[in-house]
Amino acid sequence: MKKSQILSSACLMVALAAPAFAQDPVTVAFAGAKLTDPFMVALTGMITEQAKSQNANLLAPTNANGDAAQQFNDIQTLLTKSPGAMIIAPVDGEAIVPAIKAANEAGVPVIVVDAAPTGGDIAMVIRADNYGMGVSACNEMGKRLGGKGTVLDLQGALTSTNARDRTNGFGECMAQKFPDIEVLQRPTDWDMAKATDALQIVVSTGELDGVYIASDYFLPGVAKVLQDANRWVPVGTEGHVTLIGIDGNPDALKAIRDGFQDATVSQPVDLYAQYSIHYSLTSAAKTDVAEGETDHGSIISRNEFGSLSDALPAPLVTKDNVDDPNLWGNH
Amino acid sequence: MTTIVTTGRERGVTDFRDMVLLPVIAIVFVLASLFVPYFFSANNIINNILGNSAVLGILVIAQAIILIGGYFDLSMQSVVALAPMIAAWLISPIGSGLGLALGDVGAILIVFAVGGIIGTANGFFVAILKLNPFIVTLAQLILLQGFVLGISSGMTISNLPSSMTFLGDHRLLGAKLYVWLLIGAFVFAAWFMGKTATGRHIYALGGNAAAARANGINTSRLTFGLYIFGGLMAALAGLVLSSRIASVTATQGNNIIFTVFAAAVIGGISLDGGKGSILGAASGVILLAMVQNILVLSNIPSFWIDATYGAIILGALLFGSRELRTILRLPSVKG
Repeated sequence: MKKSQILSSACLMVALAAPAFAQDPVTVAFAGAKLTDPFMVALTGMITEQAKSQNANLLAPTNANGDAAQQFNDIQTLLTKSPGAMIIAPVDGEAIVPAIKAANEAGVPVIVVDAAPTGGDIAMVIRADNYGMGVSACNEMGKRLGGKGTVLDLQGALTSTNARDRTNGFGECMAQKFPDIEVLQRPTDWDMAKATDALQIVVSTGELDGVYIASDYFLPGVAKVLQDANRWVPVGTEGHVTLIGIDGNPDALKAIRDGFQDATVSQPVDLYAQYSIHYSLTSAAKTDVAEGETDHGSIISRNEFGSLSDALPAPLVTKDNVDDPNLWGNH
Repeated sequence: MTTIVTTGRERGVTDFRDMVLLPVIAIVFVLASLFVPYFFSANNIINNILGNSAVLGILVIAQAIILIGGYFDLSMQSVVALAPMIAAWLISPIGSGLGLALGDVGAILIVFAVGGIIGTANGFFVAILKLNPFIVTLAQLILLQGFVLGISSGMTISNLPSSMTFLGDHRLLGAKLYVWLLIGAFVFAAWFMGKTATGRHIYALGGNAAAARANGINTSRLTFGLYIFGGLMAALAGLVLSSRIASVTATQGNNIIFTVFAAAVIGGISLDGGKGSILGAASGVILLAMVQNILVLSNIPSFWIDATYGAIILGALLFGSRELRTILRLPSVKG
C-alpha cells in the first residue's frame, strides 16, 4: 500500500510536471558586440521583443564593448547558465571561433548574426551581404552622377569585416563600372568626429559630387558640414551632394523623405532579430533546416566556411519606398 | 659646482623645449604647402586645421596646466561625452530623452554644472582624500563612460537646443566661433600661467609640492581648483564637439585622452610636473592638427594612415630629444 501510494504520487508528479516542462520556454543567450553602435542597440532591442513574441526566455544580453577578448569571457559566463541556444553577434569573425568551439563542447547550438565566423560548428549564420550593399550603393551613385565626378567614401573601421566589405564592394564596383568617377577613401574608425573632420576638409578644398556613407550613423555630422558649405540642398538642386548611405536608420529615412539624402541600403535588422530567435528555437529543438529558398525572400546555403548561412535581402531605399513599414528605421 | 651647472641646464632645457617644435612645424608647413594640393589656403588653415583642433586644443590647455601642477586628469575624455549628453538627454523630447523644457540657457548651465561637479569630485578624491590621481581619474573615466552608455542606451541624440550648437553655427570674420574660442583660450592660459601669481604657484606645486607648501601656498586648495578647472574645460570641449557634429554620440571623446597627452608631451609638457609652457602645448596641438589635415588631403592608403600618424609623432619626439642630438653630434636648436 505504501509502495503503491508512492508510485501513484510519483505518477501524479510526472503527469503534472510533463506538460509544464513542455511549455517551459527555451532559454536563449545573446552575446552582443558593442552597445554604443546604433545598429547593435536596435538589434538588441528587437531581439528582446522577438524573444517575447516567440516565447523564448532571453537571458540579459552581454555587451563586449567591441573587445573580442571580453566577448570570449562573456560567452563562457553565459555557457555556465546552460542556455538552450546562443545568439552571437561577433566582434571579430576569426577571434570568435574559440568561443563557438566552447559552446559546441557544452552542446549549446550557436546562431551567428551579422558576421561569418571562419570556423566552429554553427547552426545558422544570419547576415546581409555587406559587399553586395556596397555594390548596390555604387550602382545607385553611378546612375545618379551620370558616371562622372568625385565621390568621398567615408569608410568605417577597417578592422571590421563588414566595413571592409562595404568599402570593397563600393570601390571595386566603381572601378569596373564607373571608371570616370574618382573615389576618395577616408577611414573613420566609426567615429563621428573623424568622419565630420574628413568630410569638412574634402568638401572645403576640392570638388565633391557625392558621399558614400558607410553608416547612416554619421548623418548628423555630414548634414552639419554640408550645411556650413551651403551644399545641404534638396536632390536635383544646384550644388546638391549625392548622398548614399548604409543602415537605413531613422535619421536617414527622414533625410530621404525630406529630399536631402538620395538613397540608403537598409539593414534587415528586423529580420536579423526575428530569425535569430527563430533559428535558436529550431536548433534547440534539433529541427533540421533545409538548404534552398526560404519563405522570407532569401536563400539558405553553405558559406565558404561550411556553415549554413541565411543571406537576408538588404533593400535599397529611395524616396519611392521610404515609407515601407517593413524597414526597421520606420519602427 | 655640478649642481649649479645642472640647474642652469634644466632652465635652459625648459626654454628650448618650448620652441623645439617650431622648426618641425615650419618644415611640415613648407613641405605641405609645396606638395599637398589645397593645403595652403586661408580657409584650410583657419577652418580645417584650427577648427578641427578646437576640441583637442581646449582639452590640452586644461591637461597641460594640470600636468604642470604635477597631476593627471584622465576622466576628461568621458566628460566630453557626459556633460553634453546629460543636457541633451534632459532636454531632448525623442528617444530616451526626458523632454524637460529647460530652455537654451538651461542647457548650457547643465553642461558646465556636470563638468564642475565631476571636477569637484575629482578634486575631493585627490586633494582631500589623497588618492592616487592616475587611478582615481581612470576609475572616473570608466564610470562616467558607463553613465553615458546607461543614460543614452548607446544612441545618438540630435536635434540639440540652439545654444548647444551656437559655437558651430556662427562665424566671426570668416572663422567659426569655436576657432576664436580656441585662440582666446590659449592666449588667456599663456598669460595666466606666465604672468599671474596663481600660475607661478601651479609651477611651484608641480615642481616641488612640499617646498610650495612651505612657502605658504595652500596646495590642497590649488589642487582642488585644478580639477574643477579640468572638469569645466572638458565640458567646454564637449560642447564644442557637439556643436561641430550637431549631435551628441555615446562614444564622443573616446580615446581622445591619448591624443591630448601626445600633444602636451611633444609640446614639451613634462609628465613629472613643473615644466613646460602653454606656448609649447599649443605647438603640439598645431603640429598634430596639421599632420591630420595633411593625411586627409593627401591620398595615403587608408590602411596606412594610423601608422603614418604614429611615425610622425615619434619623429617629432626624437627631433626634440637632446640626448639623440648629442649622440648624433647635431647642433642643438636655438630657442
